[in-house]
Order: sequence, then C-alpha cells, then structure tokens
Amino acid sequence: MKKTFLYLLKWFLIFFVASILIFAVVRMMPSTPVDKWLDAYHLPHTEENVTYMREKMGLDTPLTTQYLRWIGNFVRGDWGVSLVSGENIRERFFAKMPYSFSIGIAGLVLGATAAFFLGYRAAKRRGGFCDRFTAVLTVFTQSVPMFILSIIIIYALGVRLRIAKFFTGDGKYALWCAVLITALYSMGGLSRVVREAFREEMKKSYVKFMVSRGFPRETVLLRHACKPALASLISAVITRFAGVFGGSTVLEFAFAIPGLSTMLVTAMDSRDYNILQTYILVVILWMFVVHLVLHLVLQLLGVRRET
Amino acid sequence: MKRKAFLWGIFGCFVAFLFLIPHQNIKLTDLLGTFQAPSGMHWFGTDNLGRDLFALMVTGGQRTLLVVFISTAISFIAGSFLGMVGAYEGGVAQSLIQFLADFVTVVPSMVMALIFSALFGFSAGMAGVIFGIGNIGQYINLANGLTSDMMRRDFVSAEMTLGLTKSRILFGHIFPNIVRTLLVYMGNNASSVVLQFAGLAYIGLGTDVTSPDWGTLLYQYRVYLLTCPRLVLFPIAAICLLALFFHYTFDDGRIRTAELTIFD
Repeated sequence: MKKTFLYLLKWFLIFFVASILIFAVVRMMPSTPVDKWLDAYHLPHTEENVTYMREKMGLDTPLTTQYLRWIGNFVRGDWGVSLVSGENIRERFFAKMPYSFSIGIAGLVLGATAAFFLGYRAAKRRGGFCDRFTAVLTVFTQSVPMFILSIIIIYALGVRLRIAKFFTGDGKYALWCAVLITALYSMGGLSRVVREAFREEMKKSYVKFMVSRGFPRETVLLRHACKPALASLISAVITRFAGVFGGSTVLEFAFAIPGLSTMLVTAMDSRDYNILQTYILVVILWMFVVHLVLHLVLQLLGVRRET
Repeated sequence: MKRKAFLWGIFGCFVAFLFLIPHQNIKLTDLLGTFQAPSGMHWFGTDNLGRDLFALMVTGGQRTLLVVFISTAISFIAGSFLGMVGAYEGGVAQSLIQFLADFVTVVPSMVMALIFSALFGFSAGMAGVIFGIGNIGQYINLANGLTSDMMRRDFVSAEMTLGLTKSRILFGHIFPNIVRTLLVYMGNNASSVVLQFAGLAYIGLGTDVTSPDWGTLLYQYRVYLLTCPRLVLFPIAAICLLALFFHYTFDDGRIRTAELTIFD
C-alpha cells in the first residue's frame, strides 16, 4: 500500500516538475508567439499591435496566473486552443496520437516478442546461429542510425524496386516500415538481455537437476526458467521506452508520417506555447501509462526485484 | 591489453588528425566545379555547391567529437558521482537522486534536444549538454546498484570501522572496483550519442548550414542519392565507423563471463 502511494507520488512529482520546466523554457525563448504571428500576417510590430495580441493570446497576465490557469484546465481535460490557429488542441492531439503511439507500441511489442525467442535460442545453443545473429544485430543497431536505414529502405523499395509508395497514397507502407524499423532496433539489445537471463538460470541447480532427471531441455527452459527471463525483458523494455519514443520522432520525420512530431515541428516554428506545453505533458502521461502497465505485468509475474 | 592500447593509439591519431589537418574554408563555394570526383585537390570531391566535401566532413567530425565528449563527460561524472553517493548515504539523499534518475529517464532526451535546438538555436555544445543530462539516469542506476553491491563486502565495513573518511572509502576504494563496468557502459553510451546527434542534425531544426554536421550533410545531400551517391556514402560511413569504434574500444573482454552450463 505504501509502495503504491510512493509510486503514484513519484509520477505526480515528475508530472508537475516537468510542467513547470516546460512552462519556463518556452517563455525563455528569444522570440514570442506574438512576434511570429505579426510576422506571418506582415503586420508592423507597433506597441499597439503587440499589446493587443498579447492580450488576445492571454499572455499579459502574470506568469503564475497563466501557469495555474493552464495546468488547472489541463487536469480538468480542457487542453486549451492553439495560440496561432485557435484550434482545439485536444482534438488535434487525439487525431495525431494513434500514429506516434502505435509506432512505439507495435514496434516494441513485435521487437520484444522476437527478442524473447531469439534470446532463448541464443542461450540454448551457445555460439550457434541465433547467438551470432543477435550479437551482430546489436552491434549493427549501435552503429547504424535509424534514419540511415530508413533512407536506404525508401531508396531500395520506393525508388529502385517501386513496390511501395512512401509519400503518396494512404501512407500505410510508411507506417509499417516505421513499426518494423522500431522492432528491429529494439530486438538486438533486448535479445541479449533475454540471453543473459536464461544463461543465468541455466547455472542454477534446479535446472541442472531437471535436465539430469531427463526432462526435455526445451520444457525446462520455456516452462520453468522463463519467468526471470521475461522479467528482465520487461524491465529492459521499461528503461528503453523513452528512447523508443525519441526514435519514432526521427522515423516520423524520415517517412513523413503525420504524427505528433510533425505537429511539434510546426508548433515550434510558430512558437505556439500551448501546443509545446501540452506535448510534453502528453508524452509524460503516455510514459506513465506504459510504465504502470509494465510494472503491473512484472507484479503479476511475481518476480521480486531489488529496488 | 595490447589491442586496447592499439585502438586508443588509433583514436589519438584520429583526433589529432581531425583537429590539425589543414582544410579548405568550408564556406568557400565554387559553382564552376560542382560534383567533382575525388582528386588530389579535393580528397572526397566537391558537393552541389562546389564545397570541398573533405573539409565539411572534418568540421562535422570535430563537432561530433565535441558533442560526444561533453555529453559523456557530464553523464559519466555526474551520474556515477550521484549514484555512488546515493547508495552510500541512503535515506533522503538516495530518494532525491533516484527521483532525478527517474525524471531524466522518463523525459525523452531526443524530444528535449529537438525543442531546445529549435528554440535556442542549434549548437554542438548545447546538444552535448542535453544528451549528457538525458543520459545521467542510466549511469545513476548503474553506479547505484554496483555501489550497493560493494557496500556489502567485508572490506567496506572494515574500513568504516577503522574510521576512514567517506570520500576515501567511496572514491579511493569503491570507485576503482566499479569503474570498469561503468566504462563499458560509457562506450555503448558514446556510440549511441553519435547516433542521436546525427539524428538530431538530420531533422535539422534551426540547423545552420554553415556548420556542417554529418547528419546535416545527409539531409542536404539526400536528393543526390541517385545522381551522386558518394555525397551520401561518406557521412554514412563516418557515422557508422565512429559509433563502431566507441563500441569496441570500451568493450572489456574480462567482464564477459563464459561459464559453461549443463546445456553446452
């Protein structure tokens, strides 16, 4: 009970520290949304225009008032409107979120599933094909950036072979490629984690005993020794998740997928405070949900972890 | 050990080469001599504006090394220090440090770097600082776990009983025992920083074309993939080689345990 409370308190603090941080950061920018808006409409930066726009955007009140109003509304589900276009931010986010989140989730689930079996095979036959393959894959993913691989894929499939259209049509090829690349990049490292965990179990006496008693080796590993391996896989996924989210930003850019990152880029151009602030909070809420679910799975596995 | 000294020697030569080699001014364009093939005059040839590709690559390499240096220095020093102190002190200090570690791991550093570079202009130093802070969390967790393992050893309790100072125990005796593992992690981290920086420069918000990074070059030359693949291949090769190099140099063969099990 106390642990749950502390866990939630930690996330609560992360959320608020991050909200204050991003609120301060966007206001430290050299140019304001007012300047950008006036530039966009070719209006002179007269005292009158600036004051009027500041008032209209609600930037004339003291900072604490602005912060409290924004965070209060956010918590209540009103995410405000874009300073530039006046659109409802929440609707826009909900339209874009499926792209970004599904790249992360589908990629990681695919990658982790493949990693489990690859890691299992690698552990079972030391120095065998899977063992070497995962080692090579790990080095590959550590030395070739994601976006280079995507350039090569676009070139090979889209330009040379012409079997996939990445920038026209409904964009399903682009989305699939992004998911597969995410999966490939999480697979290498994760499979090594699974391999280490399995090897650690193999040294233990209960495994030795069961194998000597004549139980099939596969059964011993997959049925009896799989829990610790699964637990370390999930812990590794948890620590990697932020990186996967950052990676999907690059992929969205490379494949021109209309996800959250594309919106972030345009919002940064127009210095749209509201969208930038909301973006960070949404990312953190998303991280919270993922961490919560994965921690629950860890609990269900019943593996005691040292904290 | 020989292999390691050899790799470090190569690295030293490479750094000296990058910073000492005289190269053409990177802003010098030559519209009559665009897309020239590699020659004695232009070692890697010229690009679409007639700029010397070799000079651009060297400048990009200097900037990449700067980012890697700043970022790993920040996260290695601050991360291992905080992690060790946290494990040693326990209590409130430990909770605060753990909170910091969780915080920086949760906020994606790539996204933060994007926002900061768009808002305050793109510079190698800033990218280094942001990646450095973003990666602190992993070092804290690692140093924390390793130090608490060490704390259970007899020699530490003996030293505590003898009344050695805290800093002497932590940095004189615990640190040398865990530094090897931390360095292996640092190698992996350095290569991932190379990749992250290239990705950031590739997206290129607020990037200045006159300060060429390998990622920026890739973004600028991506349209010449068909007509002049050389322009794209050089930056790709440079990024991959540097990342591979960091990966192998810090890899420590002695840590790998090759114990056999009943399955082998």
